[in-house]
Amino acid sequence: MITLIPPLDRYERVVTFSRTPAGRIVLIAVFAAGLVLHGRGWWPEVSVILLLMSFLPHYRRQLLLVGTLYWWWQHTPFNWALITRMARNEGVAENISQSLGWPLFQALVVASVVVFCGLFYAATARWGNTAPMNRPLRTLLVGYVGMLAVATWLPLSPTVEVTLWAFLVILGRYIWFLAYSLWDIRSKDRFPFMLQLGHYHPFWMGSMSSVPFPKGAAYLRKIEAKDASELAVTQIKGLKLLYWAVLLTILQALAAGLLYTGTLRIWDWSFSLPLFLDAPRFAEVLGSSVAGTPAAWHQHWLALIARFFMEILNLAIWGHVMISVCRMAGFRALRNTYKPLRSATIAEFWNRYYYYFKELLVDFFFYPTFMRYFKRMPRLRLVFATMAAAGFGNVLYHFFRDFSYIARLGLWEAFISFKVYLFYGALLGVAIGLSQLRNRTRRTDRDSLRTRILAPISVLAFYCVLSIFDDPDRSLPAIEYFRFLMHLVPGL
Amino acid sequence: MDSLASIREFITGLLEMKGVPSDVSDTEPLLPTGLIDSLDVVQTVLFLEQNYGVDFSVRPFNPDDFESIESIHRLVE
Repeated sequence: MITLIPPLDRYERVVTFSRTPAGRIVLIAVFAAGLVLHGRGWWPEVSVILLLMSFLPHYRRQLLLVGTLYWWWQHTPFNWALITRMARNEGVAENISQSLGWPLFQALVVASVVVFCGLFYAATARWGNTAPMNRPLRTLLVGYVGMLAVATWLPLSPTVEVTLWAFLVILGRYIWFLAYSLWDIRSKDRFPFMLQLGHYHPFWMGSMSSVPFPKGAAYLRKIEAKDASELAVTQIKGLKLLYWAVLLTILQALAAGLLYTGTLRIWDWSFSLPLFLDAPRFAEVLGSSVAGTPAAWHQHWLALIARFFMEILNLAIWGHVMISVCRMAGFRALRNTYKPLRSATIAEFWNRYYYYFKELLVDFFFYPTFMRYFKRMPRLRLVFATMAAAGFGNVLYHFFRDFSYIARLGLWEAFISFKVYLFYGALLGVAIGLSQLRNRTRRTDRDSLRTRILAPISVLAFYCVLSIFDDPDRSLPAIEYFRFLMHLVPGL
Repeated sequence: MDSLASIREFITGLLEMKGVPSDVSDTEPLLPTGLIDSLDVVQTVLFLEQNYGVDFSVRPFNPDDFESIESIHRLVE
């Protein structure tokens, strides 16, 4: 088998060199070069933070906090465009601009969210044995929905309304980070809230995702490199992962050329490909179907399969870059996407495709449900807990994540616009639940034809078809997606 | 068979069933390293409930308890 990236973390001499000051500098320089190849403009800032974390491992958490605060300031992970638009619509944009100025307004909103999170953390630590703080996540989510209801339905003055929505937008970004902090309260060696803050959208999370990568402070404590050797191995693994992401980016450009454009565009170069499939985009084919002029069945398949594989590639690259920076910072985090095309079961794909999102759902929805309900009915217990995670938790996460719908449509209308995703979540929950039941006691023969070829094809086919209902455009009625499904069958 | 040996045998069996190396020590991290996943935790919970009467509904569930064979064993002590 060809090894594209050598197992450098197992080469004694490489590990020994990486432990030295010169070795650490070389590792970070090569890592920075990988970020440049990847087109990440923030490579200088990340390199400085990583250098400090490499040379001052005893201050890793304090540096993480500093790095994260710097990232908030320089590369805001918040959707200010949405808030500015709301202020304009309410006619208070000028008001805010003239009275406080937008930078101060934004700083005050972020500060108020930080204070809220700190108070909630302190209240849970203080009154965690009595209701309602004995179920802090439930209290937080119910309170959040309550505040959304107030912002939607109470007749507030435009300035108060915009300020409340701004608070909710920022808090919505941090709900799951706060949830992991609340979890850390149970730990004997928990961090104070100020250090917890370093894990709230840490600097290695370049994008606006609300999924904590990788989980929270308690998890990072477990996977932190304990000595120079562990740090060297962890950093080399981070380096390997980044360069694997670079290779995947080249593959992604090639796939886009072969599927859609006929041109391979990579960095500043552009090459014409001798042949390409000219696959239609999913949105185009869906649009034709909605307009009553559906494309041929094979065009539906082509659009669907092409989008499915491109999304797997996108997610893998995105997660690999984040985890590679996290590893360079000294944390032995597992990959977010790990060989999803090898999944032999529906449950396994769910685990391999988007690991930290799955972990979020398992930690906050699956385990609490599984531990509490249907203890005398093991099969129902497993399926019910899976539905709570992959169905309910999944939909709830996306409902809060896609905040613009709530801001634009209000709470109830936004909920209604999620009906297609509700169907998607329910179907996914049932499928994963049944898959888990079916495979609970099955011994896996990893080398059999069934496990290596037939099962992965069936699993991918299932997720590919299911992805019809995972459309970020929430404006279409469910019937249009069923119509698309029907058009996959020749003659229908 | 004592409880530690019984838990060790159970976890080894789980790992063998998944086709991953099963020669783990009692203190080796299982969850953080990805050797076991959430479904394996579920299996372990069922095993502990059925064989040792551990009731997870009366104690806060903590994934730390499933970090290693040794920490799982502490649940039944």
